[in-house]
Amino acid sequence: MSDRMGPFDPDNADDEVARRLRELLSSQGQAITPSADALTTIRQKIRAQDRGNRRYAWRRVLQVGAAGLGTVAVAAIAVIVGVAVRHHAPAADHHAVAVASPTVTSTPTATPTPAPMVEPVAPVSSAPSTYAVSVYYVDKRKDPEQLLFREQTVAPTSPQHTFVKDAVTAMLSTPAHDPDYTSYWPAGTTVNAVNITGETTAVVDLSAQAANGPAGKGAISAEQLLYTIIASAPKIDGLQLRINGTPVTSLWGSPLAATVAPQPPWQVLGHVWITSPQQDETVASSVTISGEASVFEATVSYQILRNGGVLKHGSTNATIGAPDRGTWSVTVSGLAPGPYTVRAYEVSAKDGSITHVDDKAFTVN
Amino acid sequence: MTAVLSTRPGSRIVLGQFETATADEAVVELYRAHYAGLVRLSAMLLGDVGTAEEVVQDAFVAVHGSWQRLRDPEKALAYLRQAIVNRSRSTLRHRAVVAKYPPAPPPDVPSAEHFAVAGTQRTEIMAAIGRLPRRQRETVLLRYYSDMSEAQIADTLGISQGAVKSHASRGLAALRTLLETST
Repeated sequence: MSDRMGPFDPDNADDEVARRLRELLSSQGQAITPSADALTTIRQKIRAQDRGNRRYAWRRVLQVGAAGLGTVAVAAIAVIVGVAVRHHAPAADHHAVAVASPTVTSTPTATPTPAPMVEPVAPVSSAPSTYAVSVYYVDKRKDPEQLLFREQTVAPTSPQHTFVKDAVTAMLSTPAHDPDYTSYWPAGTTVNAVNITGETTAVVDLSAQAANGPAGKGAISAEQLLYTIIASAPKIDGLQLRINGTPVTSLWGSPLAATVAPQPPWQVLGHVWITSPQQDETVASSVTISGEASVFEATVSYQILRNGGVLKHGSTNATIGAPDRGTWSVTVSGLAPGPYTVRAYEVSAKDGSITHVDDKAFTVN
Repeated sequence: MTAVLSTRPGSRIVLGQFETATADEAVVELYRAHYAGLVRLSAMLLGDVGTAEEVVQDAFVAVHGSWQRLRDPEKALAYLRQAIVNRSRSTLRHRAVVAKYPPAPPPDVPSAEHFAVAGTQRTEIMAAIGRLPRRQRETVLLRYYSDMSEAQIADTLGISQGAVKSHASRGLAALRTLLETST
């Protein structure tokens, strides 16, 4: 701790009181004896949680793929990379969904050489035309500034089924549905290649257009790219960015690490997300609004607006409070047909103001 | 102290005197350096050492799970403190609802022999801290027990530095008479 309170000041009467309080609390603390074998308990809890997480991993990936696509059937499920991808026939809805490949790793036949390998390719037995991918965008409003939000979009199924490349391509070529979000990557930027090195680092080579983006947006745009990659390949935890084959050390004036690490979610993700309904989605009169939040005391507030007025409002709890990130949902029923907006936000613990707003326009049919 | 450190890519970090460490190693180092202090802090927030240990252990498990994102021991410590304050608070709220306990029970008061200050006065002061409004109690303990800066406290509690100053000074004012008469 480098920035402690100032030194004791005998002229300040409070300091004597404070000194006594410090002394008292210190000896009070000394009298509390934590158990000696707690490390063993912590390790057991970590192991138990790891086991739970492994069971949970596939479900989570599927949820990421399916979240927010209320009207879209999850029609196909895959995949262990390098083993198999199975696609079922798409549902009647034209958005056929194949949620796929979280695990980007060496194929079983890979040699142990450290050379970078091409993103693993999964054989495809029968391909639907598109599948859902998660893409991150940057908030372009003042508040919260430069935080990331996730949307679902659909990507054409590539013959090689290169999930990471598909997701990055979707991020570069698909504008955000929500008008509050944007991507600062220059128009026309394409993906030359995606390689995975050391199993956990994505080496992404972009076309020359990527070199010239808006000043000050490089760092968050690199995180946008990395979070988008991780959504498709959760094992990835680093990004090496190249432009036309050349490793870059800065992006649009912002310095960039040789291997960019993902910043903690509570530093780069919007504190409150609405993940369903999506922007401009049409829903039934009873609509479940759901999202993610990393908010003080887990309290998420929401409003349903119609014609600029607040029709309903309330608050709900996310599954866990900040700094962790929880999920939340609330069901609103009895909405008459017509256009609505839902806003979700955090009420500032500092001054009670509305902050970290996310909003979605939707229509009740 | 020597340690054999994993060089597995993706789990390397800078950790104090060590060059790199995995999530497991980071938890061990954080445990050695901070476990006892964090349990004591949580115990004073909760008034119960057993529950405090559970709260702190669960926070360590959470740090282990988030290590790939945290990597930095300073960030990990900040995360631990925030998680512990929040979890202690949730525990108190849960207790208040379930058992209709007062939401701010006085912290555990170990026997008087431990203390330079007279036992009765100490008991009174700890009880008075236990009766402070929640934010004042948290601020007083983080500032005068954990010796954290205003900025760190603001970060931990999710409030402004101005609010930290005001909670600390109100908390201290409430305890002033008792403290001034302590010997």
